[in-house]
Amino acid sequence: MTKMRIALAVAIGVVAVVGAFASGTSETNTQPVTIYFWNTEPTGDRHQGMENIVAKFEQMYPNVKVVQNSLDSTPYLTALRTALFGGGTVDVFKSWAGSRASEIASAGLAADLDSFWKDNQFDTVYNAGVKDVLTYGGKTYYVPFLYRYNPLLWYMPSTLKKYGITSQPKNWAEFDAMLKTLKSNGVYPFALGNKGGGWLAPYLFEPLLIRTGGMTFYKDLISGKVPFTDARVLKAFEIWKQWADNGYFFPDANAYTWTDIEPYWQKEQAAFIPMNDAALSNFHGLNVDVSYMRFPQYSSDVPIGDTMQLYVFGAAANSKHMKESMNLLKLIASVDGQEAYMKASPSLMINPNIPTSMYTDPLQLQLSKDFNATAMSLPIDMGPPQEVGQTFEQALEGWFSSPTMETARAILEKTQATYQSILKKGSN
Amino acid sequence: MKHRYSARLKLTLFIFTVPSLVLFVLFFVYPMIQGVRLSFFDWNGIAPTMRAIRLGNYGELFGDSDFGRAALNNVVWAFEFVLGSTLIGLLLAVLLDLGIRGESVIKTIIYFPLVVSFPVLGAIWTWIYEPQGGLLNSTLRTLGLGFIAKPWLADKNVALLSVAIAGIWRQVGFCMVYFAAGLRGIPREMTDSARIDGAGTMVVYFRIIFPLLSYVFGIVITLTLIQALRAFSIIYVMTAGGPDGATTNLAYFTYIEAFHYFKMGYGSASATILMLVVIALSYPIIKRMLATIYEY
Repeated sequence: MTKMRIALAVAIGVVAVVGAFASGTSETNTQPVTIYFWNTEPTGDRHQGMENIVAKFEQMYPNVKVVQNSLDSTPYLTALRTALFGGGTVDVFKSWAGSRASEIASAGLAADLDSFWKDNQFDTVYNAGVKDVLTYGGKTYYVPFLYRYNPLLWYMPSTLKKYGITSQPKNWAEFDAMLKTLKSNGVYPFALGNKGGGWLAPYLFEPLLIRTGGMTFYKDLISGKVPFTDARVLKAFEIWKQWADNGYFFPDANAYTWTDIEPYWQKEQAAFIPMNDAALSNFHGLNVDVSYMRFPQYSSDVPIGDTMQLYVFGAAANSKHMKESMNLLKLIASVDGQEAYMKASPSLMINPNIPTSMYTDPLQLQLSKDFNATAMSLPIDMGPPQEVGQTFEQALEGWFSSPTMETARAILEKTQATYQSILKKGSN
Repeated sequence: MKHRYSARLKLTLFIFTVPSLVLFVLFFVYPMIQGVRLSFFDWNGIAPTMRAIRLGNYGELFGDSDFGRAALNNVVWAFEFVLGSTLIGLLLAVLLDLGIRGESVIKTIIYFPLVVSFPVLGAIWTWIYEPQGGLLNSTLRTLGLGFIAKPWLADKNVALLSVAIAGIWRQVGFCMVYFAAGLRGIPREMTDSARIDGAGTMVVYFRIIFPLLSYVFGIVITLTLIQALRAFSIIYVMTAGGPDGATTNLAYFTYIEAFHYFKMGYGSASATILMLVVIALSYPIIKRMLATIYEY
């Protein structure tokens, strides 16, 4: 009896293994396939944008069903990393160019897209700068999707007009004069909503670093080649210190998020909200006439450069449906895919072949032109390891409680010590 | 008196315990052991290899000024939170024990914050503390005390206390319920006879009632202390540990290290230390509770 039971168990096992193997190998393009698509667009028009891409893809490949796993961006990265490492159901996933994407690639969890880029001739579509931030250790692992233009100063033209400011400053002297005019009329120039970890303060700080020190210096800084204690970083802090001394910041920056501070901006108690282009739809929702300003050149020999977040997509290295995953990536990087997203969620798409007619908002169209004409780099909280960026951001929060050069030096020393310790560990 | 159970009853009891025991081991003991094990490695959560560094994470933790500040914040927070919640909870329980009309309605109102979710609590208190038009500063200005007004959650010097006050508001109902139950359990004859013997109200409370409540004090203080040490959500929703780490405690520090910086070993070491502190503090009360159960 026992022998019979064992024989039966072995037979069932063999049938199960053979069956599983057979189903894995005999798969053809016409058989139904499900792929899992991870992104950070759980609600609203951004989710609809992703739905549009999925609908288009499923129309192109009727045998493929795409299941979206859309999470809020805060828990997303932890959930994604866990799923990728644990061999969970991830085929195509979103990430952010910089340390977040590179860590996943370095761990061998993202598929190598070198030949995919070559086959689809993406080198002829995207410039070397874009490819550069998607390439780690000589291999390209991601395709680009959209970008967020970070350091923008949003204002209501009516506020500035009241004080005779009818055109944007062309140089730093004019910019300075404009800030003085606003303050002398009782308007705080900057409504910085820095609550929640201090992530917004760099939107005011990074452009100063680039304007005063240049883009090469900034890139060297975020890659760890130049220390944060460099005199050029302190110079940017000196400008901030002057602004703080002049009372240019709306009080208690750390008590507000950028949306908390909007009512004061709307009441014209403050002139500029520093925020990236994602704010545009929010301002439209407020029904206010809005425009944006970029920091002008600090000196004529240092060209303008800015920072951007770049949303990217990759395929899981262990995807069971690599061909289908690649097809989805191809659509995501294409004009068709990015247009499908834009229809639901007007955004700044990275594909340069997107027709300008797709930018129905004149401000977005202008932003895309500015982007194409400007040297761009990753922000401090995306380029270097996350700990460096967040240490810096958190320390900047402290600066608003005590805006002195001593605090500035302490911030820079702490950030540099964090970076040094990470670089040291990496080299061990 | 120690009970003697038959072998059959013991087996039955064991069988009934097995399902929950399996779940407990699977989802609590095993992850806890893994967490402790992880604390001896340098690992980012996704790298194919984990680098064994023995006590390296612990050594680094004790030299990390951010960890030191988080531990200190935890001590200050625990002191404010436990003291505030216990004293106010006791005071309310005593007042309600005097036989006020509508006692159960008042109790429900005081208990209500405990069922409020943390995001709602965060929204309420962020509005109260809003520097320009918030309830607190507006009231202070109306009363001519505008000089006290400040950005309560954005000022490094008062942010921790401000969050603690919100926490106390939530915890008071919990403490009050325990004290109220304890007060109900004290036989009236004891206090009545003391009064007949000439004892004043203060003597009755401090010499008879409060000593008889010592067991309840133990439970309330221990449970509130554990709550204070593990506090996370309230900090997450109100300040995200800021400004500049002023409200970061050990639980929040652990979260940031493990799930923002992905220093899994380092975060696990911090979590292990926190766990040991919680176990050490809760051990006496658990031991006492088990002993009490044994006596019945």
